[in-house]
Amino acid sequence: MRQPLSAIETGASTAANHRPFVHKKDIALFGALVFAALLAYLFFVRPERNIGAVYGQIAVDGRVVKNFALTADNIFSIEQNPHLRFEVKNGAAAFIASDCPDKICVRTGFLSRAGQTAVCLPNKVSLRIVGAGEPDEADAAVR
Amino acid sequence: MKKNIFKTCAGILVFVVSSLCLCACVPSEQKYRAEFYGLFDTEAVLTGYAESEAAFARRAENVRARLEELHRLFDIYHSYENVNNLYTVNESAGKSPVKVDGEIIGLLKRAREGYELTGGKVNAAMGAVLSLWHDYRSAGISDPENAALPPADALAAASRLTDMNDLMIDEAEGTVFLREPGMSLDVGAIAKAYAADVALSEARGAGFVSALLNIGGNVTAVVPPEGGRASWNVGVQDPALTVTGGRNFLDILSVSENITVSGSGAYERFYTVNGQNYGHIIDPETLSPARLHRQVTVLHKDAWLADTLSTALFLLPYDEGLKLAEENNAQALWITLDGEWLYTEGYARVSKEAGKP
Repeated sequence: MRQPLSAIETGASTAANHRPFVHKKDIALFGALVFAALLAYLFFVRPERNIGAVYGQIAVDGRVVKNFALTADNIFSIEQNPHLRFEVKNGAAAFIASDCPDKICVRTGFLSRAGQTAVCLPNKVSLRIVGAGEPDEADAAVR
Repeated sequence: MKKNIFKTCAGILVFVVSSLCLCACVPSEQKYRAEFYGLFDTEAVLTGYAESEAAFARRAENVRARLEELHRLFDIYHSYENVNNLYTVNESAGKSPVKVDGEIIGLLKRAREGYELTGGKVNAAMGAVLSLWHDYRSAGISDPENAALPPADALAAASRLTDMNDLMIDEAEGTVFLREPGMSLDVGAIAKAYAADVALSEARGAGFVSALLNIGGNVTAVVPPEGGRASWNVGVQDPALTVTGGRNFLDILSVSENITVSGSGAYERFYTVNGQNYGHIIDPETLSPARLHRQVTVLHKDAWLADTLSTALFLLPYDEGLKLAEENNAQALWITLDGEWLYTEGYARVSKEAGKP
């Protein structure tokens, strides 16, 4: 039998059969809940993790139209604009063809670091490397 | 039995309190991002923390709408119904003063201040020269075979119409007047940062206290970021490609005060004539694209000054640029044509790479 922690007794503390205020089972239950919450967070809040911690994202006029893994080499277009071609190679992604006059999007080259962006201004299309949770993901890029 | 109920209640209480504590540890503010097009001939990206996507969208729309107003006012290429903008001012050169919005007066006063403190290196009255280069560059990009340089005599003639003293600002009347016919304003070296500052200051007044606005590579930060972070990460794009065509960040800056980071380089906007690249930043003295550095990056708490100084430093030799930066309490990084790094002490303090082992 354990003594109450408080030295100054109250009416309640005179009751017999004191057990620890927090039982082992309570701790286990609490732990299980924390674990479940963590799993829920990883699987529901951040589903993009499924395609890797760092992945590519294409937006047309500010709307995300495609998320893609950087792990498999690939060349593709998007249905919203067949004049643009993208390539994924060695963990990096780039615009490789565009019908725009200045080709700044293609000149930007292959991007692989979280927070990097290439933009095709005339077509209002952006290619971004997203790194959810990467500690040095850039919030913006100066050029 | 009574005791068990008490215990159960206590258990539930412990659980609820613990859960609340746990929730408090998970950042309640999330990071969101919005892209805007059709502003200042470039893309604009707003990043910020908000309690919900809807709240962020509302704030982002306010910022976008304000930027659009400012874009229309500062636009030199188009006129808009019921608005006197810089296009109107340019069209009225040598004819009559134009009644304009207070933001145009504000911008042009800064442009004049920038002209004075850079010894004329950054000249918003240089529209006549810049538009020549703009036209030849656009033509050269769409038809590379026939790309040509603006004729020297045309440039010389245009340069006679670039006197900042011919820009008359009448604050009492709220008018702007270019005295010389054929003269024109080009505020490309200041308008984006000035507008970002106006839009973000107003947003901050309305409670949007954690935001980062990137207009075409000019980044203005309002701190702090939320979500338990002490600073924003601002990447500085490498002007050079790797051998495999990759583009990296040269550096990451850790920004924990209200500041604008402005870059000037010639590796994106340029055209090629006879195998030689010609950039878009024109030296008012030589009337040709600057070729002293590969890139400069400038940090200053005043957005318009960061933007002005990044252009000035791109046009000035390193020692003169360093002096100008120091006089104005600006921090800067220069990437020389050989790829060497030169930077101020304050730059190294926020840099992940400079001066680090």
